[in-house]
Amino acid sequence: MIGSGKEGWLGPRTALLMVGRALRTRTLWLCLPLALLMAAAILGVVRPVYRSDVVLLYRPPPGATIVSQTEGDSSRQLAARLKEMLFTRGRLTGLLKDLNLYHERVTRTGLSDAIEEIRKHLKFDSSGGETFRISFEDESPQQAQTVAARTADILLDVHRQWRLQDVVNAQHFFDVQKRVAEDALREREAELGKFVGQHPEMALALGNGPMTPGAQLRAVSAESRLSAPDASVFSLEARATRLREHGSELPKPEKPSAGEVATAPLDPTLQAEREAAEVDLVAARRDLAQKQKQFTSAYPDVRQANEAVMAARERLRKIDDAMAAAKKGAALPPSADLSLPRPTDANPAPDAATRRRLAALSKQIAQARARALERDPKRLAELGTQLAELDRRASEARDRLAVLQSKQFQASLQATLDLQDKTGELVVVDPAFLPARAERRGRVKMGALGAGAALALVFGLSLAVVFFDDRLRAELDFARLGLPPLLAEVPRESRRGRGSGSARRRLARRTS
Amino acid sequence: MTDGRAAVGTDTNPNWPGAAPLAVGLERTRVAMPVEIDPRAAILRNPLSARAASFRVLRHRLAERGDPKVILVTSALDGEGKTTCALNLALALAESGRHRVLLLEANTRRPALASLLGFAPPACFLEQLTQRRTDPARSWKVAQLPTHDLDVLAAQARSEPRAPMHGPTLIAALASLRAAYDYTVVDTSSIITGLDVPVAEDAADGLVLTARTRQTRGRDLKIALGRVGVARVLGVALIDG
Repeated sequence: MIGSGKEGWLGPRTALLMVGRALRTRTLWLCLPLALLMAAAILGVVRPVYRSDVVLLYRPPPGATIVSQTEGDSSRQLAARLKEMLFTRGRLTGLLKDLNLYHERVTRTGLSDAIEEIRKHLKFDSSGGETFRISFEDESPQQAQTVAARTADILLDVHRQWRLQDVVNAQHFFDVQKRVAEDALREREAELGKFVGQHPEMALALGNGPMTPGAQLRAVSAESRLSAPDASVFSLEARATRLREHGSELPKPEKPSAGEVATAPLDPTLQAEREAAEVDLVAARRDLAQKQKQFTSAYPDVRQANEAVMAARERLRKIDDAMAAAKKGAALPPSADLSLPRPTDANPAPDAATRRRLAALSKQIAQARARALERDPKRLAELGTQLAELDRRASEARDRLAVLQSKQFQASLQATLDLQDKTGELVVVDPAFLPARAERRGRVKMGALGAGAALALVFGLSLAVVFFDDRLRAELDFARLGLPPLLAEVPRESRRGRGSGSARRRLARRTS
Repeated sequence: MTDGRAAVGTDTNPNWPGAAPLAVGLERTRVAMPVEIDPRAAILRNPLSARAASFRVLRHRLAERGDPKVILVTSALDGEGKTTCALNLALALAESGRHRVLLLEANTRRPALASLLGFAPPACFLEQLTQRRTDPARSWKVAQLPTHDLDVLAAQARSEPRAPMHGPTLIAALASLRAAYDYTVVDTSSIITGLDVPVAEDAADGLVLTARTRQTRGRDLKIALGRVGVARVLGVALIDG
């Protein structure tokens, strides 16, 4: 309302009025064509830009799903890594020097500035799928094509080297881990074997695992460590000993010759050797069984494990021979090597019937010992706990080894593929082309930006003119400049003497 | 004193309908209006125009602001529509026929009222004012417009500069005229370039400032406001063209 003079000049209505006034100023309409002409001139000066693209396809290798995660994840990670690798200063410096790019800029402002410049024109786009696009923009179409092609080559080389290095590192890592796991497993199984050797009656608790036969066979050697010897146990063990030594429970009458010395007691060293050999044999058998579950018999690991079982068996046989010879009183030759298998076996293996009887006797011995232990429940509980602990640790070591063997196999497979150059994960599907037409988008964008900037500049100028102009035009200015209220706004005399339409409308508002 | 060309009659004791007899002596001389009226006299030239209506709005606004009886019309600088505003405001006040209205030209620098209305004043107001210093009982010789019941005390233009008006005499004159008229509209010189406003200000009830659209600057108006009593300023009339 005229004359109120209470309206703050910073209100939205005032701002709108100021904008409207700025749009009506002569400054705007005089400067606008000039600004647009300037934008057009800039557009004419801008040189055309050519762009060349290379499209790369990421093709997962045959074992990719085994080695890595899902394909989507791997391609996204690959895109990020490829981009980082491509935009490193070292690689861009090499590219600049190889192709002699931005020579003027390099000599004038230095290499860093040229690297920033090439980063502006080189683009790496990943659509989220398995294709990547490298594009380069330059004022020369040949240069654009050359740089795009060279960049793709660099990327392929870098990717190949990176994969090889990764595979080698992974293989080495799994090798080391496998050796550690094997040592750990060997140690655990030795502990378990030793325990079962000392307590063969506990072997039954392990079930029908590969430990059972060896443990039963060692029941005899544990007789001295029984805390509560039982007569039946001794009787059974004596029968078993005779059976093993003579193939019959009844001892054969032996007539010692005049020069023959009496049968010597068992050598403790040989006994310990035998126990160790049994443990090794058990471990080798377990290893073989594990590998046979995973691989075929032709696999090198399986063959190696089989040879280890044979060697352990041979060693056990040698020790048995040595013990038999010691019992007979024959001294071993000092040069005898227990670790090497003998070409011929002097003591023939027991026949099938004897082995069955021996197994039955061992089982009876174990049951008898178990019965003896049942009389001492506390001791039984202790042994059971100890056995479970040892068995659990051995199982864990076996599981870990199995996992590592699997990983090692995968790494080995990957390495084989890489060495045979059959990976081909990153291939060029669309090589760099020679652009025939300049990029229109860039020019249109430039023109639009220039026109927009010119418009904004001119409008800002007219707004500033309006803002700083203190000439009185309307009631708004009185409030804005802190002047006394406007009493009346007298319009210009119209030609027809009736006043203009806007003046009449204003008057109608004022008088209403 | 009457001009044979412009004066058409003299009334020494006028009686407005329903009005008390005048205490001050007036010699009213009816003057003839020219055929071609100056475009600045919007109410005379085209009383139905928007421009004429806007002066009626001004009259209405002044009535809202205490209905001042003696109104001083001035501006910050010359050429900002003082005479136009004063004439049209006086015509707007007089056109109802119920009020006695005097348009007084107290502009020693550039008097223009007589030329705007196209008549020669019976006596120059400034000279009458000088004479009243020695003879305060002297009658005022005023010109009466024929179309509107409006009296005019105009000054005559002179080539040589005039001395400033005598303040006490002007105050006394306005006081006596206040008794004779319901409204007195005083057209003075500009505040920044003239010397009349500070003299006449004390005798007026309020000041109306005029400003020219897209010409008068806010800073000039502020300077002018700094030289007069801001409390007496009733507002601004913004005149386009």
